[in-house]
Amino acid sequence: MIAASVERELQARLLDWRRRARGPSETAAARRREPAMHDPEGSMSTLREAHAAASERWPGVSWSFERYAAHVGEDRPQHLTDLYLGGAGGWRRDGAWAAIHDEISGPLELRLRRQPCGTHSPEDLVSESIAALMGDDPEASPAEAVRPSKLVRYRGRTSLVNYFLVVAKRIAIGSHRRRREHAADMEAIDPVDHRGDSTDPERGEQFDRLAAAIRQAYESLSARQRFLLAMIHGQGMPKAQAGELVGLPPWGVSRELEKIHDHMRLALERSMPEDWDHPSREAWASAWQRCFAEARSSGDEVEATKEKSG
Amino acid sequence: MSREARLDDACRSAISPRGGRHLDSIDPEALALLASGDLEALSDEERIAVWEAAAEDPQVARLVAELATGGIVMASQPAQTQRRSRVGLRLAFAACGLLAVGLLAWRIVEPPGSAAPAAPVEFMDGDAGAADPVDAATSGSEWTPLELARDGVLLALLAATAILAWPALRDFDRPANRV
Repeated sequence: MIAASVERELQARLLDWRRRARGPSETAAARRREPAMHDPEGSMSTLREAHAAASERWPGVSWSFERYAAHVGEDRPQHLTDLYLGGAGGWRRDGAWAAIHDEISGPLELRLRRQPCGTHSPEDLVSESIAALMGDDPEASPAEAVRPSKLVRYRGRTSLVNYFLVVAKRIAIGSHRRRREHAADMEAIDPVDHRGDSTDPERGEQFDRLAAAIRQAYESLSARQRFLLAMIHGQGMPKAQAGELVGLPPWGVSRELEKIHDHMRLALERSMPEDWDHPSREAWASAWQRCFAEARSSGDEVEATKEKSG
Repeated sequence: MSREARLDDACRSAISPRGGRHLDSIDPEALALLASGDLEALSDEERIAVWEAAAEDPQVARLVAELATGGIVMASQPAQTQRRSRVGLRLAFAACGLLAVGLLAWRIVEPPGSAAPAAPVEFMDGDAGAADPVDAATSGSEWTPLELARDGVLLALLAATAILAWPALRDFDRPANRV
């Protein structure tokens, strides 16, 4: 009896160890799949409970358990009740969008008030995000009896308010970008080159070689390293916070940045050994920082405009 | 054109802002999870896709930065707060453990009462049958395990280390630590 229980315990530990050894993605995926695979009844009862709670919370929305279960599939995300409302809205069930509006608009507006929204007001962004997600999902099969809305892609891994918040912010940033592109197009009509002599014959070869070397060195960095550079130098995010977004402890970020700069410097040195001296190294480093600072300041323009107009 | 301007141009063309290229294609849920620091909820592919998009497109980077700086609120305790408190716990655990080990080593090496001014040592003739004061001073005044077990400070430190061990070392090998 004792031996059997010890064996069970050992097997459980071995399974756990194997799961950890498989790595983050598989562990996360396995965690999401687990209830459905190992305990289908428990999983279904969780789903039933979520459906009952959601039906009670939003009595105006009519969505059967069978359809809800089919929409959820095998995943068991953290926000199952939100997935009910999102799914009902996605499949355009009666009363769903009215319930979404009531549920989302208040908290979303509150959060948008604490965030930079460009030239939009938080109320406008709430309406626009709802309208955007009500639109037809372009990836839906045309054979569907009801053409689902874009909200059908929401899978309940984050709260519905967070989902709408990301969409609302995306709208704000996207419209700012379009305005900037329009302004840039207008400037492009101006024939005067403000940067100096564009026909300088010296410019050609050396510039191309340098640009290619820098591009090559930058592309040889991993996605995680480039992300870290973009967040810290490009967005001015504090190092510790940027480190959290790539799984680095606060004390490891500076070391990682140093590693990235060393990697870039060595790659440039290898690409152009004859031109790589101390002044060019310093000039490259300051140009690099100026370039990121420029990207950051252009992002802040909209806030300045808003403050001026306000 | 000056050398400086050429370098600026080269850098700009290297990290050419591909504005808006990824903004509409990136999954909002993946963005929200990354901005909240919940890396474990994302698969490797999703994580790399968001990192790539933010690195190539300053608009996505800006969105992530703004969401991470207060926009995203998780239903459970925020992952970032959890992480900060875990760092504090680990530091406290390490400090208690080091102090306990240091104190134990000091107790073993230093005999009790060694801090008090030592009495003058007299060397007597052992053959005369009198007790040798040097032997008495060394053999009778070492810490015994029982005395160590009664040492309140040492016990408190060991207890604190034991209590902090579980919350501090739990999830130590979680995926984000292995990245």
